[in-house]
Formats: sequence, C-alpha cells, structure tokens
Amino acid sequence: MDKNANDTFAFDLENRLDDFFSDSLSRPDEPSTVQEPPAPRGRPLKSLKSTLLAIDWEITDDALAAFIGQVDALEGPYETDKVAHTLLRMLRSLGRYVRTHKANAHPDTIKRIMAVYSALERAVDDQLSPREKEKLLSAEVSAFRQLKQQIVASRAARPTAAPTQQPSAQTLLAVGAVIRAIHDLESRVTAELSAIRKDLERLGKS
Amino acid sequence: MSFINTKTKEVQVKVVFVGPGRGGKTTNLEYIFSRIRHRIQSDMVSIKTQGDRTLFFDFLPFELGAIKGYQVKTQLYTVPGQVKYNATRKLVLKGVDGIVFVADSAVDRRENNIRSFENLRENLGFYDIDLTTIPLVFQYNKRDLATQGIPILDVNTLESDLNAQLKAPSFTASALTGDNVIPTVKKAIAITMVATRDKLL
Amino acid sequence: MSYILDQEQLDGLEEALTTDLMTLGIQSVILIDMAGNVIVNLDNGKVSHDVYSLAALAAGNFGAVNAMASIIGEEEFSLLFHKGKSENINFTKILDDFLLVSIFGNDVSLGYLRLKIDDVIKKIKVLIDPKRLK
Repeated sequence: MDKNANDTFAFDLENRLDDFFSDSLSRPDEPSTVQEPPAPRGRPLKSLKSTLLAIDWEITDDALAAFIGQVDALEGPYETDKVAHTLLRMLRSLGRYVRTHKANAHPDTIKRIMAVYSALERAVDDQLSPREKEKLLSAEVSAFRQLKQQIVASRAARPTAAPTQQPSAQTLLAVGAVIRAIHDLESRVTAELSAIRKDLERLGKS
Repeated sequence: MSFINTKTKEVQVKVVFVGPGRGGKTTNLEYIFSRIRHRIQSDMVSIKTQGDRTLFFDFLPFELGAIKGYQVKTQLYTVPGQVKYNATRKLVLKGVDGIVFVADSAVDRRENNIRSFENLRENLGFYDIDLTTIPLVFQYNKRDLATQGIPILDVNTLESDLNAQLKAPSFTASALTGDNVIPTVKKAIAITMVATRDKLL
Repeated sequence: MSYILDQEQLDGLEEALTTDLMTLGIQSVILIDMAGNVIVNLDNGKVSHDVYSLAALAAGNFGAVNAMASIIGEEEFSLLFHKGKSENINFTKILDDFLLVSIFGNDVSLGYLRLKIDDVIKKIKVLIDPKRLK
C-alpha cells in the first residue's frame, strides 16, 4: 500500500487518539432488529410433538400432565385406527410411569417414549400399508414388553424404595397399578393384532 | 483478528494485554475505561473469579471515529495471567492483532515475567503468529512500589530480560495511579492499526 | 470465597455422583468451583482428555454466559447445554460457588439426566454445607 497514505493515516490516527483520550465525543449505536420465524401450520400430532420435545430437555410435572392430557385427547380421533390407538395407549402408560417415578424411572423410559412417538408419527403421517403398520406396532410392543421386564427385574433387585417422603407400601401399590396397566395393555394389543389379521384375511379373500 | 470492511469503510483491531498473574493487566483496562466511559456506549465486560482474578477476559471495545474516511474500532482484551488458565489464555489470544505486555516491576516477580513472556511466544506460535513481527509494546508496571519501599527491577534489567531481541516500544508505568497507562495503549493501538492497514489494504 | 472440604465430604461427593450419575452410563462428571478448580473428577475409564483445561474453560464459559445473561436482562440461564455429534456437555450451578459438568452420549436423554442431577444436587448441598436442610 502507498507509504504516504499510511503515514498520513498514522498521523491522523495519533491525533485522534490524543483527542479521544482527553475530549468528550459520542456516537450513537445503530439498533438491530431480529425477525421471528413464522409459526408452523397445525397437524394433529403437533402439540404432542412440542410437549415431547420439551420433555426431552426438561421433565416437569406440568409437561408430563400436558403430555398425558394430549395423548388422552388424541385417543378419540384415532379410535378406529387400531395401530395408532395402541401406540397412544402405550404412550399414556409410559407417561404415567414417569410421572409417578420421575428420577427413579428406568433410564430407558424416555428413549422408549420417543421411539413410540416416532412410530406413531409414521403410522399417522406416512403412507404405510396395513402390513407395514402391523410390523411397526409389533416391534414397539416387543420393546415395550422388554422394558417392562427390565423394570420388574430392577424392582426385584432393589426392594427398598428411594429415600423420598413416600412410604414404601404406597410406592409398591403404585408400581402394582402400573404393572397391571401394562398387562391390560398387552392383552388389548394382542386382541387388536388378531383383529387386524382377521381383517387382512377378509380383505385378501374378497 | 483485524477486520477491514472496504464497503462500510471500517477498520477493527484486537489488542490484548498479556503478562504474569496480578501484574496489572486488568488495572490497565479499568483505568482506561474510567478515562473514556463518558464518551463510549459500551460497558467494560469482566469475567473474573470472586477473588477478582481474571477468569476468562476483560473486554473493552470502543470507536475512535473516522480517520481518513475509515471508521476505526478497537477491542481491548486482557487474558487471565495465572498459569492454570493457559487454555483460556490461548483462546482469548485467537485473532490477536497487537499486544501490550504488562510486566511486574517487583524484584520477586522477575521469573514470572520471563515465564509469562515465553508462554506468550508459545501461545502465539500455536496460531502461527511470530512474536518478532506482531505489533507489541512493553509496559513495566508497578513502578510506584518503589515509593512504598518495595524493591523493583531497574528498567535495564527488564529490557534485557524481555526486550533484548524485539527492541519494541516500552513504557514505565503505574496502572494503579494511571501513570503512563494512556500513552501505552495509544502506542499499542497506533502501531497495530498502521500494521493492519499496511497488511490488508 | 474460600472453602475447605475434608476427606469425608469428598468421599461422600464421589459416592453420590457415582451412584446417581455415573451408573447411567455417562462419560464423565466433574465437580468444579467457579474459579475452575477440580473438586471431584469421575469418568467411565475411557477418557483421556485434559480435565484441568476443561475445568478452567468450563468456569470461564459459565462466567461468560452469565455475563451475557446480565446484558439481556436475565439473572441467569437455567440450561447451559452443548450438543455434540456423539457427546454432549451440560453445566449445572450448585449453590453459588460450584459447577457440575456432565459429559454424556446420545443414549441418555437430557431431560432425564437433569432430573437425576436435581436429585444428586440435594445430596451435594447437604455434603458441602451441612447446615442446609435440603
């Protein structure tokens, strides 16, 4: 660069530094604005998804209550969709389990909730054939059953309750209720799977 | 790192105060801030421990206004001086354009000055910056200790310990009283800005 | 701020962090003070990183984020979490002087980890300052 130009710049700069550190002068800052992205359009599972994303970051009583409430609200609309309906019931069961046990819930529970939700999203949104949907449901039921076994096994290994204010008898009752709910869900799932198979057979014959 | 926006005609440089722990780097910035706060918009940011030791950095940005058609902006930083914060120090040095090395004139800090200077050389090396070419000013701080009967190193010793090779501009100073703090930073900004324009324009 | 922790307290802290957090299968848990000093350092045995630099940077990072919170008019942020491709890092303040740094993979849900951290913090507070009731 031109040495002369740099020299005069240096000279002016030094003068400015002298002024700056003795006189007063101020220059206002330009304010900046930030645009908010538009809110996404509604879809049936949108609220449930938001709640689940929030739960992924932070598990609170409010979020769990909202989650269970939203699952309950979806059961009506999806009553005729056996796969979606079953998945929703699994979600409710898992949600209630976490709400009861919080930090003492099995570490894989949240993962399972996310997986069941993913399956629900696919069952509802994607163009899956009845057979594909059934396969999806089967896989989730199997994983759900596995988690249940792990929960029962860990309860057996640790008979004493966590050091909280809850007396152990009440905790066992709550656990019993959850296990009964899981058994109940299992028999419903089995019944619904065989109903789906019968439907498929009928469709195949006609 | 230096930034010249030829469209908006802005020149911005980063000058970092380095040196041994408790040598007076933060005090320098605090004094500078006290002198210019009435005319700048931003506050000085200090991230420090409860014991007032710099934990991450002190930061003081300001604009000098237009010079030869260019808006001149400066960012002053200090680094934490304690040895255990080397990783943080290295981070703050990223993109440095000019250096003020604040040495502690107390006799019992002589080794610390030398070690801190070597550490600076290493950290700059990490960014492929050559200590012999980066704009640098020495400040031999805490000269006021002599008035309290505390032995201080004479300037020749400090020069030969730290500045024998570079022969960079140097100032004796007392950051606590403000003595020679402004001349130090003015020199540092001047040589950094000129070197930046030289390099980029 | 200065504090002294005796061997009993340190052992108690290690035990609480091991039982409540390390058993989840996370990579490591470091309890540090706000100046970046390491108080308890636990890992899964597969870690070779420089924990002292990590601690200094974590404290500096936390300090910087707090400064940002002030600038925007917040007292502090309740979540300081960085998501990586395979490992993530979460910071939780304990009392005013300590920071719990957790490094964990994607197999642990952040929400669940934060629940466990809330639990273990109650124990840590009692260990560090027995005059506390919670």
